[in-house]
Amino acid sequence: MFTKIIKNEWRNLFAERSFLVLAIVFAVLLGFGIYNGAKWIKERSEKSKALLVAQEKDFADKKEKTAKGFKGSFEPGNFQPDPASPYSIGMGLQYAVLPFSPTAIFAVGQSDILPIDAGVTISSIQRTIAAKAIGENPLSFLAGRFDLAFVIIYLLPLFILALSFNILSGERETGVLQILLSQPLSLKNLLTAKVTAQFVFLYALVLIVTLIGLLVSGVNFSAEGFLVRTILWLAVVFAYTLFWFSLAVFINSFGFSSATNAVACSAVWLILVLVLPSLLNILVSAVYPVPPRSELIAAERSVNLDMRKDGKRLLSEHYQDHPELMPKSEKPDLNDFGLAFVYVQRLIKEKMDETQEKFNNQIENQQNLVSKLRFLSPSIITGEAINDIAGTGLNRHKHFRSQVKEFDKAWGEFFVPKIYRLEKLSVDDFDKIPRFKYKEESTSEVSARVGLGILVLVLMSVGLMFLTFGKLENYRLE
Amino acid sequence: MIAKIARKEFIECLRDGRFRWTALIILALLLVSLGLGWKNYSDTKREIDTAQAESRETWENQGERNPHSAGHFGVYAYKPKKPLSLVDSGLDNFSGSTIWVEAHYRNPAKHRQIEDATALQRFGELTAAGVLQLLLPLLIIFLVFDAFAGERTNGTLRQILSIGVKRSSLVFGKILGTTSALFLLLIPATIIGFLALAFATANESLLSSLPRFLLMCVGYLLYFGAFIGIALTVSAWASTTRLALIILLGFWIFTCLALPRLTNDIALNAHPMPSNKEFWDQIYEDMKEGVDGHNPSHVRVKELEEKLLKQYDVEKKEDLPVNFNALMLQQGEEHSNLLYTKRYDEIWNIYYSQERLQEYFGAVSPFLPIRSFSMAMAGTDLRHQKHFIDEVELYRREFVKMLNMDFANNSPTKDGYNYFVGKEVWKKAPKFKYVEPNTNWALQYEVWNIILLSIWCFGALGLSVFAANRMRVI
Repeated sequence: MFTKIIKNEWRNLFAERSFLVLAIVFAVLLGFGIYNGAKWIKERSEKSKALLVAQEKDFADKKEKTAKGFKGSFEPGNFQPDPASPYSIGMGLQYAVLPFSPTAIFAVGQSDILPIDAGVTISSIQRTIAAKAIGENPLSFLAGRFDLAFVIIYLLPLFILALSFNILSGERETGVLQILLSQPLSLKNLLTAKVTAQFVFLYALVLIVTLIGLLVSGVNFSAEGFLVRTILWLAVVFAYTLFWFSLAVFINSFGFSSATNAVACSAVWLILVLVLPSLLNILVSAVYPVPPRSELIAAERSVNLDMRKDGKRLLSEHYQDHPELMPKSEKPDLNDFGLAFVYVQRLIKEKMDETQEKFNNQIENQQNLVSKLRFLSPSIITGEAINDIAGTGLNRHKHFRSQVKEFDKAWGEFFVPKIYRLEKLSVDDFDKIPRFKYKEESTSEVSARVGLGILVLVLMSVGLMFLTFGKLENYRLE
Repeated sequence: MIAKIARKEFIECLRDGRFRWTALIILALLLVSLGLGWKNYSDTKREIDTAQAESRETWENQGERNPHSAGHFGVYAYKPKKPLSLVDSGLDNFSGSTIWVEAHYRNPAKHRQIEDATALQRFGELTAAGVLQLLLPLLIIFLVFDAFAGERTNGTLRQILSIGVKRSSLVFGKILGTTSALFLLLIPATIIGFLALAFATANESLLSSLPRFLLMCVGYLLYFGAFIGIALTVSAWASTTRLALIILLGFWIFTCLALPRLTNDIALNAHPMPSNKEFWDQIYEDMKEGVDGHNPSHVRVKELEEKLLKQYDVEKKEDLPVNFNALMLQQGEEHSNLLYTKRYDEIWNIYYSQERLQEYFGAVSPFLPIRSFSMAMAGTDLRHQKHFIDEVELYRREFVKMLNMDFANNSPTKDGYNYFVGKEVWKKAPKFKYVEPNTNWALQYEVWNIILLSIWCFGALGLSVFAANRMRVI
């Protein structure tokens, strides 16, 4: 009987033209989401790659010139710094790039706003073009991106509700329910069979379209972590789908009319997907307010020294405190503008890093709170999980940031002493210049975070179904 | 007759539990968002005022240094919060709020609030504008979807028409009834919005915000009119209430939810941005080779030198009574000003092209024109952002020029950079004072959106009359 109902439900679904149109529209939207994600990743990684290529080319170029004994040019119109000068390389901007995870296609996430090409220099960053980013059109952040995550989080529930808002009320209103139940069939079984039929159909649709999308967009299936992350994604989507179906049958169990069910379903969707997240966002930023950015500016400007006026005093003090930095052969020129500039910039950098830490901590606090509050709305659970899996959220970025910090330290330690000691880079030194290599976060951490979310989604669904079955005892057939 | 129908419709709305609950929730959300908007406005305003004052204080107390060093130290310009941002914060959180004003560089606005937020922010923000643009249409749909379809299913439609009620009266009655019910919600919301605005602003900025506020209200009325018309049309056309509801919800999902994102991605793909590095590489290239590629910097410096030697009738640069270094710096500024305008405008033209492409889609979604129009009236759209950064740029030129000229006129070339000044000069530097553009300025860019909104409103209402005249009775 159970399989008969499932088969019958499928036959009914496919016979309804409006449903087929809806399914095709949904499949196209899924496809478009995947296409956009793939396009974003491709363009964005090309830009990052161009940065790295330019950097290596610059090093190779300078190394070659150094080997040839070129000492720079001061001729008007052809100014070139000494290629072996630790000052010009160290002060220059080096990029540490966060590569996209193999499953980044699942969500653009925060990758359009968080700096995934982090600038590193011995100077304070605000002087560099890394801090002078022109950035994406603000309008784009207002609208949000049409990526796969959007289709899953916002549209998938709507499609589910469109399918099942009248799963019982529809049958009742057409009088079919009474006839069906005159057969040896319980209401619970009927409902379970109908939901199973719709669930299987929908999940298969998402699965097939996504799989085709991944194949077409040329995702590397053998990349490390791809399989684990994809399985996690499948599980999240499964649990999220389950939740919305459970919700639809729960609403149906009250025995309202189809129209009332539709209103109730859309109201619940509205609250869980649109209203609750924005309310929680307000709460989170009220509990852990991020200080105004002007504090960062104040920190930067608190080091208020002039290289020309204060340089001599600062440098002589610095060399006294750090005799190991004293050049071996010659005495440093304490009026050297560049040396004083390095000194002042390092001071500013230190101050700014301290203040920046305050911002980072506050955002981290916010993120930790979100990780707890996410359980209030299934769409937040899913949103967080998908960003986590795609590696385009705050968690992976935090992991990246800590590595950038280390790299920044290594960069400074390599160049700054050389500058004070008035040394030049040797040909061999060019290969020793620190390079950034991102170490991927462990997938077990991702699995743990995402796994908990999935568990809660499933528990919510089971709870709703339990309540539904309880209410079905008193379901009125007319 | 129309009045009677309207009255019946109005009373029915009030008695309807669905309406009462949704209206209450929406009203509550509207009030909360207005309250939050108000708090956000006053907090941010205070922060900005403090920061702006602090920036000036640090500037004036930077101690003795060379004016050019001071030019590198610079000052900061903060974007003032607009009073109407408490209704519609628009792009405020997504666009830079601070510009570092310094010598040599025209810096982009930085510190987008969204950089300091979790992914929750991406679910959207609770603003009064958001409630009005997204949730109110849903309320209208819930109110109106069974206007005709329900009467038909119940069989009352046949009875009403049989006693000689004109179909057009029926439509106008329904429009009037629904609108009055909506006004029960909108009037208190508008009054509270106005009060919030009045409390948040000083008198003169309240006066200048008032036309913008009223125009915004008109815009929203047109938007709601469009949804009432569409909902009535669908209700007249659809065979069952269920079908009417599904179609209307589908329309809402498409126009308010999917289309804004769809058009955004289409626009981003159609008009791609250069990378940050490409942008700055281009600027460095321009600086070196000259804005037109024909007068590289060393040639320009040579020309300046010759001109000055002739003007002061001296043999060597070192004998000049004015500081050649400073004049060279100023010449560099004059040159880079041109190229910055060119390159920044290129970027903004990409933004505008993206925006325009999205606005074309307003022909299929009333949501897009109201979103743009509302932001424009609130002063939180792209045009206002550009206005701010352009004003800051004009200020930067004035600021840097003042420093360079002080340096040039008060020290001879032979002293090089050994010219140090203090507070008395820093105090003379101009202060940044941003004056918001007036309503007419904002309106000139909104013609297309206003036309679209009007077409949507009157077109949809007209269509509902047409549909009612042709609807099936049974």
